[in-house]
Amino acid sequence: MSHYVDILLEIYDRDALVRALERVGFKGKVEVHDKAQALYGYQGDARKQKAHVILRRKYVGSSSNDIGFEQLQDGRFKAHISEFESSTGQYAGGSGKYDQKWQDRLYTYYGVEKSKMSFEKKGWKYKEDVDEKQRPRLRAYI
Amino acid sequence: MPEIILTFEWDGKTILKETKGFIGSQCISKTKFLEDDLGKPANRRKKAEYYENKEENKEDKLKA
Repeated sequence: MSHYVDILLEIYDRDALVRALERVGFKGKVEVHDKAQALYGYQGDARKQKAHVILRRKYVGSSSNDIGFEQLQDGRFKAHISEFESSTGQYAGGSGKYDQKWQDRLYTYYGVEKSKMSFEKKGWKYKEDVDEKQRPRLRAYI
Repeated sequence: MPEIILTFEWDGKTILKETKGFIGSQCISKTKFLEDDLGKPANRRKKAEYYENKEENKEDKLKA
């Protein structure tokens, strides 16, 4: 018996999130904290937002603010990305390096990494490649 | 050999899960851990193969 399922992804796993951030260019640059830490703005000012997983501004880009992911009480992660980095609102035309497209790419890799971790936990073997539309694909075998 | 194929849409939200080679409803029960780990399932669609197997099973039963 075979079937297809579309799974709507939710981000709960810190380790998979870190692995995804490493895949989008932040290998060895991700800060991880059990207790949420302050995020800092481009002038070094502490922002009201706090986060458990942080990309400091020195790695994000020049004139940039920290990017953070805060784990909420229900376990899900919420991204804190400034308008300048995401180029929305009054800062449209900012760096725009971390726009919706970048976030979608990050969350896609989160799905890939979380799936690999699930297969590893179950002792399944897997291979990663891309399909004909260049979408990431995992093939797993018992 | 039972196989799971996961294809990840670049929208960061949708994963297409395809199963092959599982017997009976194992394709759901043996792979449910993924849905538990990743998120909520939506739009479950049975492949033509599912119905073909069902027909084959029916024929086998009749032969027996």
